[in-house]
Amino acid sequence: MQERSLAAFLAIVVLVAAVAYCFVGPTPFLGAPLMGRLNLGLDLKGGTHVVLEAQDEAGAPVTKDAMKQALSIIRFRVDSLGVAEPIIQQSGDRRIIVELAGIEDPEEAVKLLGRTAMLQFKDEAGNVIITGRDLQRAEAVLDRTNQAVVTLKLKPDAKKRFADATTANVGKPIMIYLDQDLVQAPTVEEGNIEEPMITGYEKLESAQNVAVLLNSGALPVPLKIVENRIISATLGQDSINKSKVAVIIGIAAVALFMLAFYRVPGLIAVFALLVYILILIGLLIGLKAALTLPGIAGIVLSVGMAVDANVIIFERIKEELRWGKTLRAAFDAGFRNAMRTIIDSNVTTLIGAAVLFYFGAGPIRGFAVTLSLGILTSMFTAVVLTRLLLNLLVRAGLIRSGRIFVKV
Amino acid sequence: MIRLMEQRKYWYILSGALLLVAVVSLCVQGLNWGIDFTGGVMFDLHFDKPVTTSQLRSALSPLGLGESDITLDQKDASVAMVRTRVIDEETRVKVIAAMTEKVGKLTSEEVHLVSPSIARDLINLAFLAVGIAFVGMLLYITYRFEFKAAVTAIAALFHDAIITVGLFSITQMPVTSTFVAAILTILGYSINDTIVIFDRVRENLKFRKKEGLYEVVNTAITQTLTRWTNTTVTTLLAIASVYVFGGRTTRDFALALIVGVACGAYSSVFVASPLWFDWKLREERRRGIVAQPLTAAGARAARGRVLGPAAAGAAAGGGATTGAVGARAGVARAAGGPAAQRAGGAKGKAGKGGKGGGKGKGGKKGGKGSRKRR
Repeated sequence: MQERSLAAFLAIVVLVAAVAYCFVGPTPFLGAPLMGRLNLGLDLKGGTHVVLEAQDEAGAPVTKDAMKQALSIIRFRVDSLGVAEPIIQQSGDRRIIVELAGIEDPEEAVKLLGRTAMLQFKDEAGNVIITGRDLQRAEAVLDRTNQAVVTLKLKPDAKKRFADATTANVGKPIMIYLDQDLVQAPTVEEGNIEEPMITGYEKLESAQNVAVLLNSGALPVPLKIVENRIISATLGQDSINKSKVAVIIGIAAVALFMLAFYRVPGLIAVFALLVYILILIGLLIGLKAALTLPGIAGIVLSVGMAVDANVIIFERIKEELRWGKTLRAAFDAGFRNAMRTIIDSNVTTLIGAAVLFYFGAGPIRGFAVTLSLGILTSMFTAVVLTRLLLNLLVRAGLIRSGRIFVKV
Repeated sequence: MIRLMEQRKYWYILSGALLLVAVVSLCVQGLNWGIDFTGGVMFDLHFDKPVTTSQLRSALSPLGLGESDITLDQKDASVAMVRTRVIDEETRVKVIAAMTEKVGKLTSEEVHLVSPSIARDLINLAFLAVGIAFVGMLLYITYRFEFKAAVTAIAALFHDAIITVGLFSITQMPVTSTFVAAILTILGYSINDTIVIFDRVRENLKFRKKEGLYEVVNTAITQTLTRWTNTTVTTLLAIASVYVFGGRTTRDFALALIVGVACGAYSSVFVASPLWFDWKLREERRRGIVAQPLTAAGARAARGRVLGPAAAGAAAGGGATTGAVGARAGVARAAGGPAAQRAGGAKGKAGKGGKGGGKGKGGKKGGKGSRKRR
């Protein structure tokens, strides 16, 4: 019994050490260290965070279908930007959140996303000849004079219409509107043109942006930019570096305190803390949650609070020992009574977190998630794991007397 | 033996003073609302050399933004925060250009735009969420403990929230959405801490009721004092590390957490517990009877426990006003000042026997020779 318990204890230690290594070192079956899979928030890796809000128009209220359509149009446009791992989500009834990392011209990109992109060709009299809906495909190319132009391939039925319109309007200008802005008003030189062209772009890039806009289709509802944050990558890297130091020192300080105050049980508590951190990071990676700067501070705080359960347990065991119980009895009574305390206090906080999750949005919701995860994980590591390890140590004969507690 | 409950007058005064300072500052200075709450554009500019606000202002004036709020980082004069009303993309680009041309090279910049509609939503949601969270906690605590405990625990939360917000008002730290996260963290910590103490009070009420309400609460606090100190220390150690070693961006957040956690710990012992005690005391005085009968078994259970000087005050007080045996059959030793005063000059030994005569239960007590010896 003694050897088995000791073996079990050591097995757990080795297992945890192995898992810990998987996070920081390369392994054959996982590849790069698991820490690399941690999704960093925008404030840490830099990028653009945009929130677009659909606006009601007279006679065109925002509907679920409109939002679905708008969402897919936005996706198309973001894809064309070629950003790695963009985040595009609908938030609430009428908001779309877009997060893009590492964009060269963020302001330009944001403009691209939000434009309605309603294309119209009108004749002098104001009659609409073709609209964006008649467009098969737009393409940005360099013409013979090396100028950037956007060629428009029309749908079959629109081709004829346009050809007729040009024939009817030779010598007169045709107005090209994009979102009610007059982009160009070229004079028709000859009739029977089937493929119109928009010319006069300074850079190929601008022409390409317009092509993307036209290809994505016009947004069914206008989108207004209600939030736009451009976050610097260099600041983010600086924050990461500083945070690493803060986290390591913070955890070390807590560990040292526990060791100094509780000795051997303190060591067990620190070990449980290590497991707590591993599980927490694992959960964050698994849930693909983004780690933000306040999130890091929150995790450090939760580490300080996670030991609370251990402190409650140890203090209770000390009390039970002082009241004259045997070691085993004190353990059992200590854990049992401490459980009641821990559950009541944690459930109260969890209720608060649950409400915040349900009613909150964005940062509040993220906070509720980390808080809840932290509490649930710490309940497991502090209660279940610590009890298991302490029991194993007692059965292995390594903890014989209550002096290990009361001596402190 | 620590007699915290006796000194609760001082804690009330201290809390009152802190709350007063916070409220006064809020009324006079208000809060430094960030763009997350007011809407607007915030430029976070890192130059390659120290700059001055007048440089920045003269660069902004031609764009019509000369009136904007400009602050330099306290520790690093090459870092500036410029806050303007909502401006469009063209203007924003122009601002950055003006900065580079007229002030200095930018090593990095951040631009944050928040429209007033989103800001309004954030405020509304925050209040709604916190309000409902309070109600939820109130219900649970009432279910597990009692209504009085729930109210006093939540009152302690309000106390912590007001003081932390007061801190932001006094220091004029910018209030951002991380501020909301900080307040929520503090409330979470505070309620957790308070419930741990209430749990011990609940347990003592079950097994030590006869010792008197004062004894119950005081002992509960004394028993959990080590745990209270240790948890506060570990939590503060962790957060202090973020404050000292974390970057500029987390400094304000960490400071808020340090003050808030300290406040939350303080309120569990020095606000929530005394409030509950006073309220419970009043109820029991009014009722004049103890919820649980005094039994020999209960007294035996009480033996072997660490007994402190009881507040014959509670007992005596009850006796004085209702003429009943201050339901605190418990240890009726001289407790000191307040007790003596309340007993209206009764002698140190709250003559248990004498008062006991007033009620049937007195008989039982008379039989307890050990008691009389005290």
